[in-house]
Amino acid sequence: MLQAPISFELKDSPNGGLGGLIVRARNKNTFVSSANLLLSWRVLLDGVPLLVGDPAQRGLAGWYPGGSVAIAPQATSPPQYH
Amino acid sequence: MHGHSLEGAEAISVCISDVGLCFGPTMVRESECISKQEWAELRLPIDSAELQAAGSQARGGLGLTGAEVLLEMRAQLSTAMPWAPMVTTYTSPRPVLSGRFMMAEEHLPHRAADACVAALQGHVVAEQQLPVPNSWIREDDDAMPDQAPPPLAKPLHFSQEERSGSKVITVTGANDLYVEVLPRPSFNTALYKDALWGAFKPPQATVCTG
Repeated sequence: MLQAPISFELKDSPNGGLGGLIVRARNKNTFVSSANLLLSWRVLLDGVPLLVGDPAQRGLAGWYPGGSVAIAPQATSPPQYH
Repeated sequence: MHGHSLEGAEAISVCISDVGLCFGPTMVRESECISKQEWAELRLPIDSAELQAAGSQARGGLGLTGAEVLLEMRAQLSTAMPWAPMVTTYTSPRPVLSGRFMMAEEHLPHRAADACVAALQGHVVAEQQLPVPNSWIREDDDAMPDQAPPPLAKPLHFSQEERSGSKVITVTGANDLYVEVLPRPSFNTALYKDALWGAFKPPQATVCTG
């Protein structure tokens, strides 16, 4: 069982993050899209959730909804049938 | 490709390779017979200036000197399956703003400047000065019973000592082990599981810059 079907990477921002932090997401699944995953994000300050952004969007423990994005699976060639 | 509709976040770009992708109908829907998309980038509706201000305010106006600000991302299965557990989470291996806490899978082997790394099993493999309380240090050797990791060749051992006013954490016994210092007092099972399956592999050569 794939425990972490999607990976994230915080990207360097040419303007120091002004305009929004950029996160690159990759789908680690072999055959299925990431469209069924709901993303969320939060900021931790010294291990404690930092309340930032729109309070109306904020959920429990400082999580904000990040929507979903359909990223194609990892496989690069069709499966071989024998 | 632009224009993914997201709540609170915006997909700003994707990378699509030239490799065609098409599977049999029993594996995926026909709609997923598409070009291979390598990744997607999301722009979160928060920037460094806002983080700086919010973080400083949270610390009583003391600024962020010495503070650690990390971004945590989470992906869960659709709420259409409310029983579904959290499936992955991620904390930026490098802080958004300042300082550092994490030694994560992609992180430690590349931090020669910060961590004195040696690769020999059973010897000191990492050393990093971390001004964190003891309660934030976790040794990830107590896997969930139903998702136990492969047996560890040699258990991790953390030791700590004070040197010149800084806390030095020494991690020993690593070989295909994940090493992590969690920036939080509570054990985060999901973070652990995510990290576990991308097990940390120590470098093969000694990279010790003192």
